[in-house]
Amino acid sequence: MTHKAYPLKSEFWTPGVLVLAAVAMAGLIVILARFIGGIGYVTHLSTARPWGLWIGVDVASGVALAAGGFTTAFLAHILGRHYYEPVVRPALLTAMLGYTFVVLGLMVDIGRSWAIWKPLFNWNPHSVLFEVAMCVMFYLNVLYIEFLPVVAEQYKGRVNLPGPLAILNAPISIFLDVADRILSKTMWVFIIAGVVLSCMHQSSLGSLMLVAPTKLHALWYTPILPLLFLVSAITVGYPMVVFETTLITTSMNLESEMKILAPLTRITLILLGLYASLKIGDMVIRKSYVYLFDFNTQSNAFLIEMILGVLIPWFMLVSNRVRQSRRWLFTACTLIVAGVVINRLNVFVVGYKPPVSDALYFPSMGEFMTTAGLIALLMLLYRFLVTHLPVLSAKRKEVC
Amino acid sequence: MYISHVPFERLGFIHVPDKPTPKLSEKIQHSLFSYLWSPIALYTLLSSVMWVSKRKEDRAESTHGGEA
Repeated sequence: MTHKAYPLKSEFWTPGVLVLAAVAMAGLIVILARFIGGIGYVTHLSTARPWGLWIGVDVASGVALAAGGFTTAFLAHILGRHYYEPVVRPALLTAMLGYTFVVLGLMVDIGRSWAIWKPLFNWNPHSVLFEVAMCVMFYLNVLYIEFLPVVAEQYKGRVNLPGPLAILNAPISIFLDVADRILSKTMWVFIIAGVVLSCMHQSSLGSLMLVAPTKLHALWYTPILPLLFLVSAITVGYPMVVFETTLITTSMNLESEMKILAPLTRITLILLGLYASLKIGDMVIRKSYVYLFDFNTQSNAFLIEMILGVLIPWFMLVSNRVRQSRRWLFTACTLIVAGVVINRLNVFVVGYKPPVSDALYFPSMGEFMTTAGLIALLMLLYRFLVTHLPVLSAKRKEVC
Repeated sequence: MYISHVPFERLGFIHVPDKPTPKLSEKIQHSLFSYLWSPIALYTLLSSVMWVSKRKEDRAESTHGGEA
């Protein structure tokens, strides 16, 4: 069985794409409004609640859900399980786009986006945020480098830009040629660096909230928060691959790739079990279960996160029938993905209660539109890139 | 500054822990990343794993006559 990725070359402007484009446009208009009127103009953020939906979803969840990139690279390239190779490129693309949008989201969220390069030159090695910033910056570049051979494979010696851009044909062609030749020998350096950098900042994102013991609700505040963030990111890697592969193969009318996806989730069963036991063990040791049945916003959010996002999908994945059925596997994986998003939202938004301020926070319409717009733009780019670059290798379904 | 002979919580102040709040994150950060020892260790470990799996693969390939 040979797997060769190929550009899909299918119709781009479908009705679904038009809807996505409309959502993206609306988001871009809100972003424009944010840069003209300021953060307060479009959001419900305040000095007491500086982190909201954008940090919870665009940044923290974005980073976690991009974990498929390094977990599949680890499996296929470091452990040498080449059977899983067909999912590496799509996962890499998701990670690359995911991190690009993490940075874009961050640019919208931070007050002075033009100062985002400052940590590069003003080091504070004691700061968690500094480490996260550096890792994300390096990892984003590593991802671009890892993706370069995909571009080279398609366009090496065939660069043909339209109009006056044709002047760039030769330099780009030479660049792709040289990059491809160097990278074919040195790719391992970047693959391993990608895994190391990911482990570093995935965990450090959890350390961020450790500085706020009086502000983060006891259900989430634990010294092992970095470990929980790392384990949940590694856990969500493969379910995210299942989630996006199922979506794109359905949308593009391709074969389902279940032969690769089903065994992949056997590993998830173990990882999710580990995550659940860490979470529950930590709750028992810290005796935070006393808050479990308060039935206020925080305890409800915690219960939803644990039951819907961890326990139910775990019990589903135990069954071999679920793992073999495309529909059920997709359901279980979607729950895991949603569970991680809810977890990040809980840690950064729902569980965050500054004691000196009663300010309630609920995201504004503008915040929702920005987040939705950025996600829609990401999906459009994903679709555009798989149309023109050899990323997916699932065969086209026979039309009868 | 406030000085009082009754517990601050009874005066409507919030209860704050005795330890400085950034202590824990600083401790984690320093013990994990001083001299970047843990990333370097992980890098070394992963490269050896990759090297071993690559060698196993090459051997399997040469015994199967390059049919992979």
